[in-house]
Amino acid sequence: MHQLQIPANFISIVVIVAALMIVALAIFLIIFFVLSRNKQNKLFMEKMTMQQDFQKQLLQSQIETQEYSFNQISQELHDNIGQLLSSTKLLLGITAMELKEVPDPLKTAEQTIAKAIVDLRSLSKSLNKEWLHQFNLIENLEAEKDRINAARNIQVQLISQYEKLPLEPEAQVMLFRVVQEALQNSIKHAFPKNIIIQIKNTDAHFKLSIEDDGRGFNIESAKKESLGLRNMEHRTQLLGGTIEWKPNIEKGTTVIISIPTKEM
Amino acid sequence: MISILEKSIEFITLLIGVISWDSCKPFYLRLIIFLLAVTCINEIVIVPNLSNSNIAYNFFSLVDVPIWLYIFLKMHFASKKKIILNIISLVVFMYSIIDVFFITGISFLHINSLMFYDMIILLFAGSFLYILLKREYHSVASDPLFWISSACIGYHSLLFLNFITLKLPRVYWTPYAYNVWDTVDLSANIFYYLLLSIGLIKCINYKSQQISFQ
Repeated sequence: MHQLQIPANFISIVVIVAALMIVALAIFLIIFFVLSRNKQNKLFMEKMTMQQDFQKQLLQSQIETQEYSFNQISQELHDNIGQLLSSTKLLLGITAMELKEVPDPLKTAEQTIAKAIVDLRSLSKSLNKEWLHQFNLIENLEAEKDRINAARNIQVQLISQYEKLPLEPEAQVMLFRVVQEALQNSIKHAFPKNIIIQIKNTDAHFKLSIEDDGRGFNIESAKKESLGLRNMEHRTQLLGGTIEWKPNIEKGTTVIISIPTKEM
Repeated sequence: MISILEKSIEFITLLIGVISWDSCKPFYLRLIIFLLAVTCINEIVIVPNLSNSNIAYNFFSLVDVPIWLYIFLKMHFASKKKIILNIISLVVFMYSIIDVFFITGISFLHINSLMFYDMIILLFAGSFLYILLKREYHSVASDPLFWISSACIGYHSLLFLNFITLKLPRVYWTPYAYNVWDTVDLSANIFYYLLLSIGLIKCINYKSQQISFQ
């Protein structure tokens, strides 16, 4: 019986064709792999951008809500408590006028209420966004400095290269809130004797630092617990800048806010 | 002619490797350059001066096998199945030694263990590429390890095919056998050294990055 013989050269051709097919397949797979990865990377980047935009919008709305609350509190302080204090001062004045000899406690009460009204107006102004639109950040910081210095427990110094910052009103509000939070944290937790606020322009950055000589703190653990610190970070991020807390060589902490000039 | 072409490609790849030496991080990628140097010495100096080139190739394979297994183990350093990969690598290497010295003998090419080694390298390189594909974000075209793994996949697939032809007496004992072997071998070498060169060039621009199973 005749046996089917496969020619040897046919097998050789099959081997060579198989080799070429492997090479072609490998090249195809590499191209496919690179292209599909690029597509995947592009999608990932788009997703990340969307997430960042969403995060930014969320922060923006959080801040707007907070600003709205501040405005409400400001109005309430000015219209309600402010009026009550003014009426009280007026009544005390009338009482004092009716008396032949005004007792010292009444004089002190009148003076205390007058001071409370001034402080309340100052606080109300610092919370009022509309007021911030009218004045610049430096003026607001000056007012804030005076308000703290009036208590005479802490000495605040403001050193600025600017009289008026080249910032949008919105950005100024945000930055002012960050400084307020930093000052509040310092006063409440670090018990400093001196606070120095410095504003300067370095290369392509605008730098604002708040330096105190109080007790230092662990920033990492504080960040986990403090909503205020996270808010400071969020607000700075919205301005396209960075914020860092650095322990001072001797004692205290310095908060450094850096914002690229182009963001202004 | 083919031999000169192959040696030239090997030598050029070695030169690229030497240029990229300082950029080759993590350090285990430098083992590839060392292996390229050993390959060039073997092909240019040792093989032409030996009556039986199989002896040179057998000894070379005993250097090549552990180095490549080590490189792939390093690439898979974070794998949850690291112990299994270590055991497989050890088995491949031990089998190569036993095959060279006790089964096939030093005068003949230890095809069986080399085919087993090819399969394992294909498995290691394939699984590594799969991990790269699964990553959420990774720029593969600029990753030297991607090109090196691709080089290994193409090269070892072709080498495996060539070893199969050696196992087919109807091909092996014909006048065409040498041509078939040479054609496949040349394709494998061009593919391998070209992609290896790309990988080494990418090392220069690529920041050190540990790529692993997540």
